[in-house]
Amino acid sequence: MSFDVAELLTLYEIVNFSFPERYEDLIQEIVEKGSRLLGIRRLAIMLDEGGRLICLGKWGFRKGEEFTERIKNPGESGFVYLMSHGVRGLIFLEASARISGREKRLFNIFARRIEDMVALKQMENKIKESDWEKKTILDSIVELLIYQDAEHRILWANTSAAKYAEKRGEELTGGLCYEILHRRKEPCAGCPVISAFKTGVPQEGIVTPHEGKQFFVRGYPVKSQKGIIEGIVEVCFEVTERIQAEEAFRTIFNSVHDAIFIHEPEGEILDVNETMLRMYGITSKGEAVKLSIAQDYSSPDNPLEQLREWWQKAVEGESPRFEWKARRPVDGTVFDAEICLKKITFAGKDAILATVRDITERKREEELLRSIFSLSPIGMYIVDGGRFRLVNARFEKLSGYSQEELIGREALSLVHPEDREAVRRNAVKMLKGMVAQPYEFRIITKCGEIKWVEETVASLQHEGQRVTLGNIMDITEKKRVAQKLEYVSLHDQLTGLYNRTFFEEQLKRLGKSNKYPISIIVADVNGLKLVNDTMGHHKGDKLLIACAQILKKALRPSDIVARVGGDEFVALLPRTDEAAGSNILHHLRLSIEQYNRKHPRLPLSVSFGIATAYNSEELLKQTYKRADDLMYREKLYLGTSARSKIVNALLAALSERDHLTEGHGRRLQQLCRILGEKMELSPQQLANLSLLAQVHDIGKVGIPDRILFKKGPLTDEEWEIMRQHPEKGYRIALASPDLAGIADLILKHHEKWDGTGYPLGLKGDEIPIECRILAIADAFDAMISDRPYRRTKTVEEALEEIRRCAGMQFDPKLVEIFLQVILTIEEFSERQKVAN
Amino acid sequence: MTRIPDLRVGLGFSNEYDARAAVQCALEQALGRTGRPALTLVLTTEGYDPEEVIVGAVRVVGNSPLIGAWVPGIIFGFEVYARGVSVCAIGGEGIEAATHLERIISAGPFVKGEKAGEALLKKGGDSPGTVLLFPDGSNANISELLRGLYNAMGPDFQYIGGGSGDNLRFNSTYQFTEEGVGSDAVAAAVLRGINFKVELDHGWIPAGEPFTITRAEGRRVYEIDGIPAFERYTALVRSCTRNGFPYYGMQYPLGLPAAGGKFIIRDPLKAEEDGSILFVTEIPENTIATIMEGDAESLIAAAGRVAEGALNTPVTPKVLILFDCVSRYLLLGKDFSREMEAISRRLKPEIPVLGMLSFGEISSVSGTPLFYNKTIVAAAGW
Repeated sequence: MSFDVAELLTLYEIVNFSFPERYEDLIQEIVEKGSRLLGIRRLAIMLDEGGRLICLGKWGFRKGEEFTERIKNPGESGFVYLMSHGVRGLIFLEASARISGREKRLFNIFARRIEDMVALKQMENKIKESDWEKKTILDSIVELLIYQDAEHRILWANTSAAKYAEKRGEELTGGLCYEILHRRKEPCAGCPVISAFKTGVPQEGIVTPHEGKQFFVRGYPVKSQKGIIEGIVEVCFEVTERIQAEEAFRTIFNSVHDAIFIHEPEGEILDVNETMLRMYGITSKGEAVKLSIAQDYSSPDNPLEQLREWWQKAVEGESPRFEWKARRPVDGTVFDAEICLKKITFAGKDAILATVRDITERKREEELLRSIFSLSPIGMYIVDGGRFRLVNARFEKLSGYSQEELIGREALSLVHPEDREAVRRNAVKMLKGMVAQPYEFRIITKCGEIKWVEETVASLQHEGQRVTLGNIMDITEKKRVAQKLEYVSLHDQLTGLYNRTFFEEQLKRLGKSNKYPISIIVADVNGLKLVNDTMGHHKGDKLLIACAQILKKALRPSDIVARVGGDEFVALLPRTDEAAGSNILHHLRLSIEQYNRKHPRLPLSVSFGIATAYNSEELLKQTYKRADDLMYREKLYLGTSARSKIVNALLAALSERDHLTEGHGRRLQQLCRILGEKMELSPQQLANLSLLAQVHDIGKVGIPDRILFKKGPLTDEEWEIMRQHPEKGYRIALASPDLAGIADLILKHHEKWDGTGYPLGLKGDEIPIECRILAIADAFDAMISDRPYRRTKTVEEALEEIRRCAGMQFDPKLVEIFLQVILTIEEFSERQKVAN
Repeated sequence: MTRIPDLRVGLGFSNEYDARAAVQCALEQALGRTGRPALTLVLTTEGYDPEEVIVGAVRVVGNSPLIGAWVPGIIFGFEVYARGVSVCAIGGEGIEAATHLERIISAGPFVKGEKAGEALLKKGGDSPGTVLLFPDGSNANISELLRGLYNAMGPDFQYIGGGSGDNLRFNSTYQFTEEGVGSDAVAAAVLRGINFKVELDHGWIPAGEPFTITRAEGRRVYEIDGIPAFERYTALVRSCTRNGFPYYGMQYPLGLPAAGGKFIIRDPLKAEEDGSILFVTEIPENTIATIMEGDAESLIAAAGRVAEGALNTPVTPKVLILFDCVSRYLLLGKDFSREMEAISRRLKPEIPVLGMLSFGEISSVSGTPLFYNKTIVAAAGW
């Protein structure tokens, strides 16, 4: 048998592995040796873990390449070595060509060596894991663990100890326990570790390494097989907070306002607090614990049987609470107390804690509250589970139901059905503290009357249960006034329509709504001022009311119509496009025409404007302005014709009313024309004079019938009204293009030559000649005509009167000419009569 | 049955001083035979700015794949040039190539190798081919890099290449592809549609007892058989002294056993003051080794065997590429021309030859890519 040197060296090297720390390095070494020494082009090491093959390492397989198939079917170039007959796993080696017998031997040696290496590695890892687990367990203990020798030199410490010392674990080793942990120069006084060393048995106790810092320390001696103490395992943890808590508990125990008894379950008192001594007038705890709660500390009037039952309940783990008549053993005085029993652990044993609260004051307060409740002027009730449990007298009166009828009744049944949900919601909010303001709603009293009430509710403890206390006040009257005020504040008193304030709010609200398209109609009553001025405000108001009614009638319930100014109305038409709006407007105009047909004496003339907003981008205010502008345009367009209509209507009304004066007008016109011609007036002056003769009294349309047609002399007041008619006439004339030219003459037609006339007190030539002519003619005709306030004069009498008043009432020159004219006429008419 | 591709190979060389002019001149010679190449291999000696070389090359070959490196010497027409630029343009129908430059390979060579392999698969696909590698041979653990690359690409590829280096000044060296230039990098290309017959040999034989490398780290061996490396080496090579180490180290390298009864040579470079020995290439710890010896005759004979083996192809090869260790060139001195002769003798005159003096040689003749020293690798393409 022969070996070449290279093969020998290969064999030599195969067995000569290093033992790297990491699996990855081991695999690298295997790959290096395998590829170089054996020409291995692929390898995989698979470990059996619970029946599954896990890949420990592989080489020469591409990423994602299925290598388990290759292992299953190794072919002639593949070699599979089963580790421990497959129990441990397998090693797969692949040569670049068919494996020769020599290679197979080498592969086998190589694989076996790998198996040994992997086994060693696994064992090493297990040991490491085991050590690591132990260390992890000890490090996970939150208590400080320190293993130390007799000189307190630390041999080992866990992470908690290192953390407490603010050092790394290895820094603790070798240091003195008291120096490293507590930064002391000597061991802590009374350290149980010292006594554990001395006694050889575990010791424990509290040590105070620094003031205000306490540790519980337990020392366990660690002994060799021969029984020699090799060191002490010290387990310690800080108890500063616990001790402080105990002290705090003791302070609280003694300073609470309740008396506390700690009993054995059988009833013997173990401890009491300072409050108990004060409450019961006992001088010392020693004395207090000798007595019995049932016999000495209780009034004999108490149901002692009941106490035994409560006691039993406490022993069984319940916490009964009850009222009790407590007794002071010293003087036998009795006071009201509330007792709560509770099972606790005291000094490691079961005990019953009894807390006793002096409720004398509370009882008194309860009595007071009961009185307040029953006598309160506010309706009060207590509701439990949604039903009345208690009501006071005021509540009975308010609801009309008696206490008997109310108790047990569902509280919400009194509430108006429409308000129930809101009441429930508001009550819940108030009980949760989300709102504090009282809320209002309606109740229905026993006799069916609806009353507005204002309510507040509060949650309170009543007889051990959570109940709702309600307070209600009758605000019906207040509500009515408020509603009226609200109505007044939002409505126009004359027309009953909404006012400008309301309109502006609605304009804002609608602007933000989704009720587009919104049309706006603006309506303005034409000539209202004229009517007001001439016929009085009551006529103007009638016109406004008529207009309001027409608007209201013609518009839909969803539309909002408001009077926004003296003569201006606005209608807001939600969800109305331009076509629908125009249609509504058309109906409005028809309604006005219809009205005017029925009321020819005082016709209604209204200018309209309409505009439509299609979405919120178009501001409603601007739409309103557009409608307003359109209304003004129409007003301008109608303008004078509208006013003329009114004036004509006024004249018609005047003549119809005052039929006696009709002939007067015609005669007057004749007389004036003759006189004017005599005075050689211009044709324009003559035309004006003729018109003046007809309409000079147009102002009288505003004078009530009772004055105008009064039989008998007028009073001063009536004269005052009567004397206003030239001014009224002046204003009417100004409103009519036909009469505007003689407005000034109308104003001055009652002036007198001597200045005693009205309204301006002009005299002489200051008075227009037309007026001076009219004055004479009018006086003359009036005197020869019947008047309600005087009898008719003859022509002569009348002329005499005219003559008499020349220079005072009348222009003297004109009087002369007038007399001549009348006489001429009279002569002429006499001649006519004779001729006939 | 091996497909005979329509392979066209063109070579060119220039030793003009200007890098751009040199590479363009060389390319003009080469491309006359190939047309637009599938891959251009550019080998330059030190002193040629690799950035300029790429710019010059790209002007001629456009954005087609390009791979290259600084090498200690260029073999062109069986002459060795210490200054110059040589190119090998490989083209033809069905020839495909993809390149990748992996940088900073000394930081985690195995992982870098894997990344380079994955990049080549991603760019060029996973069908079988030949991987050309030019790693920086002066620093990183190339063996580990090759194991990582192989782990990503697997046995379906053939791996050849040579360590890049300068003119033994050990200052710096560059590797490059059309993607850019790197140092401490590996320029790699995968080439498909061309068959390579690869052969390697070195002519060194074991000359003494085996010993164990008991402590080593990378290229530095601290202890052999548990005693300081230099002390043990001088005990094995008795005539060796510290001053004479460069000479003795070159004459008596280490041989590591390898598959098929072969040895991988590891070339000692320097005896350090601390008693350790620095090698050209890394040596793993716990490796068995032996002292190797050889002479001009054995080395030249090995070169002849390599050429013969490589040229034993089914059809006449279109190119022969040589990766001849720079250490052999230094050791053989004037006899190096005989090594070239030994090769040329076996070569038909029409077969173009391009080669490089290398800082370590790469071949996968034993199955997986290994990194060799003091070795000659010949790859005949057809």
